[in-house]
Amino acid sequence: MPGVDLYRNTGPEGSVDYKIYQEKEDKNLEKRTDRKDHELRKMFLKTGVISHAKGSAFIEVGDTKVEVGVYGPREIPKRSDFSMKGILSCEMKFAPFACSTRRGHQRDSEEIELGLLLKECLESTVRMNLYPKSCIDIFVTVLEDGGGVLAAAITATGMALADAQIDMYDNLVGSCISVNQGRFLADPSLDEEVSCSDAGHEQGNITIGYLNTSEQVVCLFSQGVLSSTSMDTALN
Amino acid sequence: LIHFYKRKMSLEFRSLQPDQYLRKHIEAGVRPDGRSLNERRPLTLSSANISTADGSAVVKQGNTTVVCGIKLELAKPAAENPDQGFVVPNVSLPPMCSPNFKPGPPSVQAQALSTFIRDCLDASQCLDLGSLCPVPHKYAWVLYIDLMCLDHDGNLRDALIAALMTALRSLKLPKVLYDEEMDTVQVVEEWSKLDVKRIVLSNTLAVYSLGGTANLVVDPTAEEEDRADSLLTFVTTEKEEVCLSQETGSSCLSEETIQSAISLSTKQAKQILTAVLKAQS
Repeated sequence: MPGVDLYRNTGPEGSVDYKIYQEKEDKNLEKRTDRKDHELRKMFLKTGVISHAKGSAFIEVGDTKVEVGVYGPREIPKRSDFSMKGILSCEMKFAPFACSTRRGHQRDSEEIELGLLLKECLESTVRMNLYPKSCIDIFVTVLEDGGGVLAAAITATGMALADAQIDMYDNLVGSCISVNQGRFLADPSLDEEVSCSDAGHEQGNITIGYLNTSEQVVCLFSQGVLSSTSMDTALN
Repeated sequence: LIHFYKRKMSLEFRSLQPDQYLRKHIEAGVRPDGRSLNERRPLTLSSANISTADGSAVVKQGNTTVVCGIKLELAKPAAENPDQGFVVPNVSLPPMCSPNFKPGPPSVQAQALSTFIRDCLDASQCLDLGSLCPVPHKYAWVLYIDLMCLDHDGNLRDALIAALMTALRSLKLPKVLYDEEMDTVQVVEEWSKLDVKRIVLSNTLAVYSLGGTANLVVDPTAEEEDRADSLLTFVTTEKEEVCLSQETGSSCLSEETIQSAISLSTKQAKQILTAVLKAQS
């Protein structure tokens, strides 16, 4: 990593993940062994996990573990950001040990992108006009990435905001689907999310943030090459 | 009805005069949450929770929650120590854990805690760096130890050290096969446990000077920590050797106080030790 990190203990330069020296075994993704294509993994949800936060939630979906803390409404730190509509600030961070390869402590572009997506998702869900001149801080920490991180984060954030008694238009949930050679896999695990299929076949992931009762999609994030008919089927 | 009003008044007293509220409790030998001065909060340890990390632990001490994840990487050993591996501890206090922390570079407390963990590992010599070098001069293990606080309710030092120890004991190293002729290395999934020579335990006491005597309070919560005159931490091994001690704060401690603090710490450490050993079985 370029530059010296003055604030932290640093390791030797040029350290590499030992997995590059390991023989990669080919994972057979033809068929799901533990569940059907449209079945979700076992989920565990709990609110009120952080004692000092106004609202908090912890979600565990398969191996993916995400914790969300909500602070607010509180005073806007910079006077220049004054606005009559409340401000949402959303930060997402992967723990260094959350992924197969160690992540740095500083936020990289993927984390910033996911944070912005989550924020846009919430802009239409939270009734910000009820919180003028204040800001609501949402901190998302991913403790382990086992696939479907953004979807889990969206669900946990919805629950944490409800736990913080912040007014929203509707219940917010997140879900994701992986399209792989014509198969639609609900709630993909990490292997299914990143698997590559041959060129010429469709391969991609779609994550949506969904408002339950009003049946509206507030966030759509897709990666990969997908035809429009596949997108339609997946959204349904 | 009288109980209701009594409780209401005590809550008002707590918010208007928190110092007095706390000190009155300590004079009477109890604490606001009902514990006695020598009682620890319930401690829960669990290990190997995070499958992406090579070693992990979660510690919950009352409300204080700490996660420790260890990632292994390979690097060329330093020229001055060609047969030693590296241990890189870091503590992060994300803004999620407490309203006192804002996003940005590590706060002063986080930096101090990172240095504390590193000093504990060095002073206790609980890890033999020579055992972390499978191929001298070429490849050495780097243990990236990342401790993350999820909920800050006081006494982070004890929780961090407990998490560190549990995670180190859960760590498994794969086997490194080195081909000298071809100068290639291959990592095979044959796991061996890390050799942890000593189990390090920390005990933090908050000191309140009331009426000339110093009252020692074990395992302070965040509220108690903020109002204490000083904080004493003793880091001991399972053989009751003191390897590190730290005091932050403004009170002057007499020799008797320090002696009683040390003996109190070793007694408390035994409780944490049983919990750490149990987590591994």
